[in-house]
Amino acid sequence: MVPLFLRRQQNILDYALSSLWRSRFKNLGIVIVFSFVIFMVASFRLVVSGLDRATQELMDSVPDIIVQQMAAGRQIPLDDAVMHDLDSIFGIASIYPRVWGYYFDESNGANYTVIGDARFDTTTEVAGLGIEYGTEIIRSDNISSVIIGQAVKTHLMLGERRTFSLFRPDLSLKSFRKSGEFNHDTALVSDDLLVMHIEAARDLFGMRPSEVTDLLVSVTNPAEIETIAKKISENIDGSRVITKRQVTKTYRAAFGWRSGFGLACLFGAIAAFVILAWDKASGLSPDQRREVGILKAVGWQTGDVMTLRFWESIAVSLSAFGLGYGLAWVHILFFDGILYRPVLMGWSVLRPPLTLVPVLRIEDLLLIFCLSILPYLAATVIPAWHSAMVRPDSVV
Amino acid sequence: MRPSTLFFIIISLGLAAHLAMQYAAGVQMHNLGASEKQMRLLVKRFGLSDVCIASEARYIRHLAVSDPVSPYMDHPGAIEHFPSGSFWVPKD
Repeated sequence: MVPLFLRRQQNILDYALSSLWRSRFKNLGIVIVFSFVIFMVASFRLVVSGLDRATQELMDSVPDIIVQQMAAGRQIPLDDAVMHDLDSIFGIASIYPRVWGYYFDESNGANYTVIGDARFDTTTEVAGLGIEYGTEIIRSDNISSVIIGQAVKTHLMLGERRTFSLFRPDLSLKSFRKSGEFNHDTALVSDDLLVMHIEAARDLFGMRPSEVTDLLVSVTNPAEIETIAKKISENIDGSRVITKRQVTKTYRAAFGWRSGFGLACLFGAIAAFVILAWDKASGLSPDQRREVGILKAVGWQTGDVMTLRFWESIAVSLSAFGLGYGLAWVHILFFDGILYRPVLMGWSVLRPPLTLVPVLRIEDLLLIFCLSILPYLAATVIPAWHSAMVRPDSVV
Repeated sequence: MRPSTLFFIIISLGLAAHLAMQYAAGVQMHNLGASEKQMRLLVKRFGLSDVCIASEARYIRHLAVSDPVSPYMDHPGAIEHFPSGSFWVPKD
């Protein structure tokens, strides 16, 4: 047996839904606009949660410490002899020099990331990394082996060819032979990569034989990373020492409301809800006043009329919330955030196949709930009270 | 059928659809597990520090190891103007 209280609420809800149905086009318009705003905000939060998850998964493996050299506020190459300055620091497991830079392909406007690796000698050195090999890695003055990402292969229009050339700063050509390519599954980190031996990278960028762009330091005890980083910065004047914690922190804060796009979404949503609330609070139509008058004339109490308005608001805002939030999930899960992609990737020529998996986070749900349903309910309280106070004889 | 019953049926169907999408997201996440493991190895082996989402600006491509974003960083008048820059929070 349904308790009397619930039966009463269900009866009022029935009346509220019928009342909404009577002016269905107006209410449908409100639900659509409301859903659209919720869809925009929820899509943004789901893109952010998907990116957060993807990046945090990878942050565990970033180098313990990256050492760069700064001069006049800009990064400059450092001499690999500085590695000897770090010999006296206990707790360092290994130090690898690296040349790392960008190659701008003028023919198509793409930016490739070039990595010169000191251990890039044989295929066994880079085995198990999702690389599909074509030929053995060779080292020669004439032609250097390179492993390339899928987007690089596409934009260099290699097809079945294995050899290609890139320009040195003096516009002479440096030849490469593709020894392998990173597979599609690792595109999120490898799509724009050209990995080669460190000497080949120096040759390509016209750097001196002892120059490197950074040092990758791994530490035996992770608890000592910060201490060792401090010692490194004391040993190398003008160095910039980036620890794993800093990289992780950067990515933890990289996406959020503070970004321009996030703020645009948030302010847009707030503006939309304020306009909606203002419209709601601005008064009752003559029809609504007459309806309340009739209800009160047939015995409804002030509390009943307020309950009626409450259920109407719940029905509208809950429908809009469900529709907007559900569509945001469809947008991210099945269409990989196609509407936000142009902003996320900007004018990048290389566009990695980004797979976004939305994550249900209670804080996001609460935020969207607080931004949508609560203001709508709050905005309807005053008009509901006004309408409930109407005297039947003044309107009927 | 009472309007409230129809309303509850629609709300329940919406919830069921949402649960189905949660399940689909779980399956997708499980499928990505193998490639994420491979990417972690790649990151570790080559000392990569950043993800390749947008490569239009170097401070977006390598956010963690680039100079902080500042107006006029490249040449006079080069205020931050890349679209992807609006999605990423500038590094502290």
